[in-house]
Amino acid sequence: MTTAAAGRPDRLGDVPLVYLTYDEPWGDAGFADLAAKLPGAIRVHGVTGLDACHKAAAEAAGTDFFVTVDADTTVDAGIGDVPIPPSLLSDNVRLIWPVRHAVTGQPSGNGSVKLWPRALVMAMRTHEAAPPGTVSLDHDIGEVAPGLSRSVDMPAIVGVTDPARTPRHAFRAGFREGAYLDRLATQMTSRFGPDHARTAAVRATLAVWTSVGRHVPNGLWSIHGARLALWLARTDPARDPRGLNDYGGLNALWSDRVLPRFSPGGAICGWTGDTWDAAALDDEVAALGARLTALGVSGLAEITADESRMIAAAAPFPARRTSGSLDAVGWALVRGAGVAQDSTAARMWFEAADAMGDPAAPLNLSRLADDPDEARRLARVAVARGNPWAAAHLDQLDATGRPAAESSAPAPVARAGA
Amino acid sequence: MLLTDLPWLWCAADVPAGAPDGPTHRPVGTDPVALARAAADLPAAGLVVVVPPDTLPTPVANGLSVAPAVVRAIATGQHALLWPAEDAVTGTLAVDHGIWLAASGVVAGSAQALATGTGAQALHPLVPPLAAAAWDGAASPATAFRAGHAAMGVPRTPGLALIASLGADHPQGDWWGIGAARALLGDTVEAAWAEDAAQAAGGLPPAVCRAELARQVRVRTGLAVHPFGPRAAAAVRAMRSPVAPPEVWNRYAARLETLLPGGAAHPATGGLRLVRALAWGRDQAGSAAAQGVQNGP
Repeated sequence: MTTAAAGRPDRLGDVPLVYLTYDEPWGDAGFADLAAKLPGAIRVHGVTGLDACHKAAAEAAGTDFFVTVDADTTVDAGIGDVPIPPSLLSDNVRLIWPVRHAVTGQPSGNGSVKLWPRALVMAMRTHEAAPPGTVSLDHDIGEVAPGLSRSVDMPAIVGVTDPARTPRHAFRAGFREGAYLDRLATQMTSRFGPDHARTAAVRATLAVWTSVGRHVPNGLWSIHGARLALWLARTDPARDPRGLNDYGGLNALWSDRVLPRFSPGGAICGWTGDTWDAAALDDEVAALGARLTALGVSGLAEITADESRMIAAAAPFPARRTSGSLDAVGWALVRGAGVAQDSTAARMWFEAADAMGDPAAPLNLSRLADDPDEARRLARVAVARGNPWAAAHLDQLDATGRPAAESSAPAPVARAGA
Repeated sequence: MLLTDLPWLWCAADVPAGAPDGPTHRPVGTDPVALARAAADLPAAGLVVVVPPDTLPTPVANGLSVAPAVVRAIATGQHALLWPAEDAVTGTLAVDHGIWLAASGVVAGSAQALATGTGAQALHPLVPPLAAAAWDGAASPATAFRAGHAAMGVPRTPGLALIASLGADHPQGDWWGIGAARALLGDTVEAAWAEDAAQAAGGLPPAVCRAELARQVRVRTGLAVHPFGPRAAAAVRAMRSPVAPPEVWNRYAARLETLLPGGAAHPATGGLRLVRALAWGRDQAGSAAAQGVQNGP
């Protein structure tokens, strides 16, 4: 197995780029656009299953590393020149370059450009390929080789994703994301508490999905899908959460139960010819919002098209990275855990986490500091930020003037902010 | 050195409950003369923390610290540093309000500005991209109006329309929005306040006044201000992220580059640009250092 270019790839254009389509009517046009930007692009079409289609992409690429672009995504013209950080190019790491979401305006992992190691893809067992009895709603990269495999977000936004080009696709995208984020928020609340930064980030993202988008064509269908997913989760708790990745089931929900409520009408989809009553849809979305609010769902609001357009123009939503996720990358780089050991790169990731107020990062920086005074200052910052392991480190520094000896075992200290 | 190692001067009658443990706290009231005297009592090159009026540090303040090179630049009076505050009206980051770190001589010489909440215009501080306080300059209709007017005194960006549309979930938020709209219309503070206060005294609800002024802003400036109602304003506030806007990361990184050894190659500035790019994407007009972020990790 070789890469497309001789040696290790150092930019996205060095590896095969695979365009994944399933049932999107714009797929041909999307692939033509992509192929114009990267003439060697490959298309994988119609493979059912989110695990299977990525394995099919790996086979189609035939290389150690490959890039996927989802059908909804239009990449920037310079995609081939996007650099791949050498220390993170690994059989254990999926790299993600987010894209801007056309409906919500948020930087999005959905539709992101992803660099996959073939070995990781072939080893993962997710979604429809998950072991019986397990619920796998995402690619669960960390489960492939615990402690070594990971997904790392990259510092660039490299395109736009627009899953709302037809009412059906908009509804499906909103439904899937609403169901996924709602479940994730519940898990985060249970694990970290309702006020933790990670929980808040998920809830905020969900609030955007359920509220913002009336200003774009089919945006209301996306909001409807997200709200309906929340409604079903609360009124039908026995519902199998894996249904959010069952495109056949979602298409049946659309054609049997959703569209007939609003069709026919004066609005028409240029791709599919579906028609619907836009006012009736707006009324239903608002009514659904009221019912959800009555059930205790917080965060959603009726935001008009003008307001929504204003929000999109301001682009006020960053990619919701938590400081702990940045610190974790630094930790992997320091240890060489699934990636090349690189203390210089690690320090930058720790500094990034530290700038966000992370409690673990200053302690990790303290461990890397050459100057005892600086090591002590950083350890004190960690103590003040509530890092429960920092005090012992500080005691060690006070006693010896040197950081505590590194252990070969992963110390819990570095993950305090996670 | 942590901020909690230093003396803190509060532009308030009392030190509020919840103030950080450790430092020597001294309330000096809102009289600039008192602030100047208190600062003058300290060694000229000594560092001091100043908490301006209407500002309440958050628990983040307990862990604030800066690199030794930055401390040296502040101690010499070359720079002052302002950890920004979250604006209680809009939920946005107020980069001209927050907690100050400065040399006592600088504080004594700039007491008027610091005690009246206009220190940022006077001192052009370094502003780290981390909120460490809450700022509520909208205790009354008059102060809310003035705060809203002042908040628009930044270059017109797409985000300005959104900011001018927030606030209705705050008790004085509509007055804040009226002030903001007046600023966007180019009206002076005092004349506009006199007119709008008189209308309110005549029975015009602030929300109605705000909506009409927003309409005028749209017509006369093309800026799409659409004031949210209280529920939507609260929802949008909750949707926002605590991550500072991209320009705050850019400015701080650029200024740190001039202070830290190695400049743009220092890991701290690299880390700042990394967060900026992770959260907001690459700065298309960024420096070579910003581009280098992608190759760094």
